[in-house]
Amino acid sequence: MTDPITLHRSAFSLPTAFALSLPFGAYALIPGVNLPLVGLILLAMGLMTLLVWRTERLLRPPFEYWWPAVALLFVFTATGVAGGHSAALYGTQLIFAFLVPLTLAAHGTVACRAITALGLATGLATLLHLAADRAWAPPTVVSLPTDLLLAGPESLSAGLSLYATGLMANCIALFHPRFSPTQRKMGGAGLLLMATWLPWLAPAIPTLLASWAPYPYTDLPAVWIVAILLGIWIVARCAARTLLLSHERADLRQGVAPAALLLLTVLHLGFATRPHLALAFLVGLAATLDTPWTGFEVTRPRRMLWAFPALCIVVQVLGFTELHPADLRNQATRCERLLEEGRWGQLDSTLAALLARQPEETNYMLLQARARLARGWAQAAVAAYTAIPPIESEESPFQARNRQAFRNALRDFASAQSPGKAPFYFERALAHDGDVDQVYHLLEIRRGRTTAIGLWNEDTATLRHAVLTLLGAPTLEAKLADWDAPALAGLLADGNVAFMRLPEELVPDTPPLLAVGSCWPGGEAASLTRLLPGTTRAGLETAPPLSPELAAVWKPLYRTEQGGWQMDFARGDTTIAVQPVRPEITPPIFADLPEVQREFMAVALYLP
Amino acid sequence: MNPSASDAPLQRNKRERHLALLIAIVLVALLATLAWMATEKPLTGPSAQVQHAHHD
Repeated sequence: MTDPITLHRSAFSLPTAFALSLPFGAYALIPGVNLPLVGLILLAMGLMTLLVWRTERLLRPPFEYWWPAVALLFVFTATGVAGGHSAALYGTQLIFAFLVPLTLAAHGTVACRAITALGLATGLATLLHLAADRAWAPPTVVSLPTDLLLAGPESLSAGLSLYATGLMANCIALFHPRFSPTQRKMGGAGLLLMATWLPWLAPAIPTLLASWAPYPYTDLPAVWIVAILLGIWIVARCAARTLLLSHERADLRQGVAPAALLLLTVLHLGFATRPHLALAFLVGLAATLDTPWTGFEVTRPRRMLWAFPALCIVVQVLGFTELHPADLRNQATRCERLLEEGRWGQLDSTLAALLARQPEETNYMLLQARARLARGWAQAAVAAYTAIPPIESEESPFQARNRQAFRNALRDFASAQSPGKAPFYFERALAHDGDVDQVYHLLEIRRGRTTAIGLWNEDTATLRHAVLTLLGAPTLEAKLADWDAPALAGLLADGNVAFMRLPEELVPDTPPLLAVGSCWPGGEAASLTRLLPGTTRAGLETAPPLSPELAAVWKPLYRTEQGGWQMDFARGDTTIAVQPVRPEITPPIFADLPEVQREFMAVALYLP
Repeated sequence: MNPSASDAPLQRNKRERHLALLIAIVLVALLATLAWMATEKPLTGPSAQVQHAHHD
């Protein structure tokens, strides 16, 4: 049988280790296996608790804490089994985080140590937010409305819940009479560390308060209402016991713990924030803070005391340097998951913030292209893709997979387009990757399915120039040399290009023009390229800017009062409205999207 | 054994329970007020999104 004393020595340092790793969230992952340190320590504490109960043959937590906790456990288990809600698993963790310290920290000094560690670790974790703001650490939360960057927590509400809990832990350490002078100083240090984030947090508070609205609790399923009520009862019971003790001992300072618990509960109810594990843990610790120790003598766990915090530090240092592909901090992986789950709002804000910080990061640009394509905004997606530098000689496996995923999705998108309404999306991406042979192969397929078109202007060089400019593949010129004007016009028509007559007043001094306009819910882009002989360009995006006088006559794409889209030429008092011939691009898979979510694209070739 | 001494833990537990009940009633009243406010003022716009995001 295991020696109970040895068990206790290691068991008593576990709450401290748990408190130290709690605030670091995603940073406290065991490298290589992506296992959260918090979960591992919670599991170890659970096992230790069972062994302590077996040794003592006594359930140490008082019955008044037991029954609501067990009832909550039943609620969460029933919810998990019946509906499979992910919050049920988290709820179970919350219960354990509350119950375990009731046994393992049922002694003032252990509870004091753990509370001090929690407060100090939260203060240290706050420094990570500052590091994230200075781009020294990768952030795990990017909140655009509040302009906050957090490193560690998985969401803004989790981060704020942790911050409030850490603040209260530090206040308890600072004011409660049970804490030693050293612990009191550590509580003060924790508060100072947390205060360093205030210059960032304070400006965000008005935004947070402005967006506050009462949470519709009545819309929650009955089981969650029961869970909230049981949680309230647990907090009320803990607060009542400590308040009564404070009253009996005529020591107001003992009232700081129940006051902190009640304040945290009110904040969590008011902001409808999911409680952080640290809160459940703090409630458990605070409940044991004033209980007299009735068990056997605790030997100071010297060696084991340092083993766990040391393990925490090692894991966190390793976790900081190693980027596991599944690591939450690997933003590209996180964005990919958001993409797969279709959480566009979160993905857009995250990518915008990441690209603002690292505009050259290919993986983010690829993800942006994939995100746009997944919503059916192919023109915007290809524009994002062609803005990426060409393929390097050696790509990382993730980047290669990322790029291939985009190309596969674009190929599927292009093959779903109907003939005559199929812009050169896939061809442009292939041309950008330097795959000219495949581009030509696809053009031949298009040629085979379309009929030749006779235009009023049969200048082969201009039409070829227009094709090459649209594709961004000047090296194709030789291969297209034997294509005649009607074939080229047919190819352009298949690519949804409208042929327009260049306005008479522009003819004498203006070469043929290629106009491309597109808009999608995230933005719009319009370009006008002069097709001057002998100036085949690498692509629309790399074309030199228009001369100011020509740019002045080109007005961006806009929506008319009738709901259509229009591009205008304006010169002097003359404005010529251009409504492309085939304005609608609605591939079958996106046909059910509302109009506002669709991309609109128009390409027009103006020939004299 | 002094009967009043043996009653003390029971009395104490009773007082604790009453105080806990009082606190719980206040907290539940707060919860009910919030729920009532939400039904009075339907959630629209960004506030609704922020609030729902908190429960994700």
